[in-house]
Amino acid sequence: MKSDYFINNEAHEIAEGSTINAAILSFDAKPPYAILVNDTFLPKSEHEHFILTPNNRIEVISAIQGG
Amino acid sequence: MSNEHNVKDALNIYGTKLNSRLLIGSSMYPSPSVMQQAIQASGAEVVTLSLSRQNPQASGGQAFWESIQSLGLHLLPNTAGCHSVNDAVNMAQMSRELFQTDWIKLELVGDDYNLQPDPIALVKATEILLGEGFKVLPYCTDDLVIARHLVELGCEVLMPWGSPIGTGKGILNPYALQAMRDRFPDVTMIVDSGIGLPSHATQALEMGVDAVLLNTAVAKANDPVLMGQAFAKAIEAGRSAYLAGPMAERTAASPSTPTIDSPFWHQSA
Repeated sequence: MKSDYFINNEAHEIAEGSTINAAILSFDAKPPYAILVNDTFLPKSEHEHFILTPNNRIEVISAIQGG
Repeated sequence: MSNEHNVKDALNIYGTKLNSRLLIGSSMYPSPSVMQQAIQASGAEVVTLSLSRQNPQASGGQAFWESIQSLGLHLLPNTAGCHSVNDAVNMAQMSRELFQTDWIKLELVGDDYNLQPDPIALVKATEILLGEGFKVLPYCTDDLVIARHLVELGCEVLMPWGSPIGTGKGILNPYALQAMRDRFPDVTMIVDSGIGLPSHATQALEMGVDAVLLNTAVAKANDPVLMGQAFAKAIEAGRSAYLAGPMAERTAASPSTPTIDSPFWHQSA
């Protein structure tokens, strides 16, 4: 069974019980990146253990120019 | 300056010693190539960068990251755009993981008109991040009391504005910056925003400010590479002038030529 999750504000269907790593794979994220789940930083060490629940909001974040 | 002099007169950022007193931003350059050349021309050893949502379909993000890495400089991530303590803390944590540095240029916007830092949120976020082992470089106004709170929390660096970000107006309140310099002589003080001209940077360094951080003044120059060189020279001049000890300003004129008040043939032997 699949459920909706939001990755960078777009809805994605992912199998229930998936980890953050599975979500990142479906998003085709390019390393290096950092992850926010529901507006909270999720360390890399937890990406393979954190089980998503429906409507989780995931942000895939990477480097940009800055002043 | 000789290398020996440079080592003795290094800029100190939480124990890291740097020869250049210019920290430079990576934004708004006409192209990645010009960015690289301008940063190299400036002699800066620290470059700032930020974080945003990744778009896997766009290749620009990856290219930027590779371009920055190839410079081999110290990275100073910022928390630009954050309005809340929680957002700033999250962004700092992501930056540390991504860029492998404890340094964080802590920016907390208090007002969107002039991007003035929110002093209350800044102090709160600083306390949390110092507690988590970050080396916080707080972007603050020239308010002496907020600076004191930041120093008392453990900040070894203060980054007051000269004027609001991107305005290029230079140092609007020299008195306030001088007071901060005099009040915290052992804290590394970096003027972080509003520098528009090399002469503004010289002025800051002449006052005893340890370094300047700028972006727009170089990136938006007609020739960013040449402007990077100009800032390198201006900063070196300002620092040398500070170390040399400027003369005392006077109200009354004083002749620099000893005999100017009378032709020498009227003087007795």
